[in-house]
Amino acid sequence: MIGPLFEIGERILGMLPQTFAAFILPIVIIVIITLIWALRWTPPPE
Amino acid sequence: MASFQISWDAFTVFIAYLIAIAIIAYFGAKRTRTIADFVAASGALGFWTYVLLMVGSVFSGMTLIGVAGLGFTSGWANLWERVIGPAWAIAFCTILVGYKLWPLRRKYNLLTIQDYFAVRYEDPKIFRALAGIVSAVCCFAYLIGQFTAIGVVSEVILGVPYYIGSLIALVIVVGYVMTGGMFSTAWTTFLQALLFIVGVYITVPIIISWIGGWVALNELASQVPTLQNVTRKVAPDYLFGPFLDSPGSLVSTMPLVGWTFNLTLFGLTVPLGLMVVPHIINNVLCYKDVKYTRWGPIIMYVMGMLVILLTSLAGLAARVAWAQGRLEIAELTLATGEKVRWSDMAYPTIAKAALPYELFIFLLPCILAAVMSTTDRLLVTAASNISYDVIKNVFKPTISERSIMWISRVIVLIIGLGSWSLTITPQPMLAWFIWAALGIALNSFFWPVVGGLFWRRMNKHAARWSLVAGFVVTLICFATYGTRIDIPGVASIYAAFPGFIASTVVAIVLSLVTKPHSEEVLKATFTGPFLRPKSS
Repeated sequence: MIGPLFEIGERILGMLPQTFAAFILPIVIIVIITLIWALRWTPPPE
Repeated sequence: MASFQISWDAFTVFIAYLIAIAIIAYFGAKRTRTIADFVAASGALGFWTYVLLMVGSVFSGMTLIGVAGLGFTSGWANLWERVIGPAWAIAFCTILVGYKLWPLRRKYNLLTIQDYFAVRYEDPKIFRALAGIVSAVCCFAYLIGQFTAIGVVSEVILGVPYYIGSLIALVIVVGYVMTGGMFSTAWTTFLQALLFIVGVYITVPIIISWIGGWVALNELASQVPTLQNVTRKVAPDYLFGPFLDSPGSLVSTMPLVGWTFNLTLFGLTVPLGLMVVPHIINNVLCYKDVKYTRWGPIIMYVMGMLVILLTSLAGLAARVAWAQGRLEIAELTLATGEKVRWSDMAYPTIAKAALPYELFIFLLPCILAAVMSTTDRLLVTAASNISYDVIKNVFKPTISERSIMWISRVIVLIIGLGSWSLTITPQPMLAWFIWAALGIALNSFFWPVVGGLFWRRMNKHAARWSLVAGFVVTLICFATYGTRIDIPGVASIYAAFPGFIASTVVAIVLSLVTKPHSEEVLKATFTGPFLRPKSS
């Protein structure tokens, strides 16, 4: 269960767990995708 | 009648900022000799100029004034705007469009996205003209929001009447765009983006600590319904009070904060509309080296997400302070005579209360920088659409470089004055202007751009008619329903959504029932469901 993980938002930031989850999950996913993009990047053919 | 007291310190900082912009713009003007320079800086922008051009173009008066106004109104309930909104759009525009178009830019000498359409759809006249005109309309609607933002900050910080502040900025920005085109735009945006990013990163943490810190801000946001009821004598649910601390409502009939409204506006229109909106997508034709598409997206996303997040928190902080009775937010009288809380005043008003005076007077250049860095890009785009895409490429290909440059300059002046004149009567939340422009952009350009790049069946008939259907249905919905469509007992949705349905249905059906372009064209334009063709 990842529910308790989001209680960190409540304890440290004062946010509701569901607000913290809806906030942090998309950020983590987008950062991972753009990081993978950068690491696997190759130039397009000219 | 309102009385105004001009702050001479703030005015001095304001003038110093304008002089700095004028100097940079002068060098941009010296560098601008051809229409390629004016429209796309001849594709010669370096890494940081490109990254900051994208950030500066997407974050605007809407961000520092409109997003703070939205934060004041609905708090965390529209958090998708911060995490998958503008920052997502510029990162993925660079990946999905900029990277894929790179080989075509060099092969076909593309200066605007309409150049790409002409090649991909073998339609150098009709679709180019349609796209150019719709693009100019988008820019025009977007510009209205920018001039509103300039007026708001000038009134609070500089102490001059709303319309005077926006008029001064109009004269400056139109002046340097007319002379320097895209070079002036990109170089001034470099300074402007740095200024407003640093400004937000410094001022918002001070504002949050003035409230009592991050934890206090969030906990007080949960108490706003009670606080505003006690101190302001308004109902607990006034202005979405119960939703300020939540990620929206699961009740689909709720306007603005309900999940269907969040999905249709912040899940669809804002991220995808910003990805294809003309003044952003044309930036990906201006950078010098394709290597910039490697680390550019993650840098843009992190840098931009922090800007918009912090700005919305400044708005939420203003709401908490207002509910506590610590801060007064001005009222705005609408054309109907109704008085509403002027939520767009949230950021400059709380900044005035929370920041040391020496820091506060630097806020005006920061916000002006955000506004002008988008305004100039919009003016260049709209002028290019009319002069380069429509007049030169459709009606008079033999026109001289000198004539087309002068036509571009006159169009910049006309569009600047026209959009400014519509901002003399402000609206309570300028975000609606920007979202309207994004609705038009998404519903007109999403399928021609994304379908054109990644779907081999997409053809010129589908592109033309999906653009027309999306544009017309969107305008009809805005005229009929305003900003939202309430389906009783079912859902409240953003009014641009039917336009997206219309353009999608038309694009898919026409692509399937009419012939695709020849294999030769599809191969030459690298069309298909990939980012990188297997072989050159």
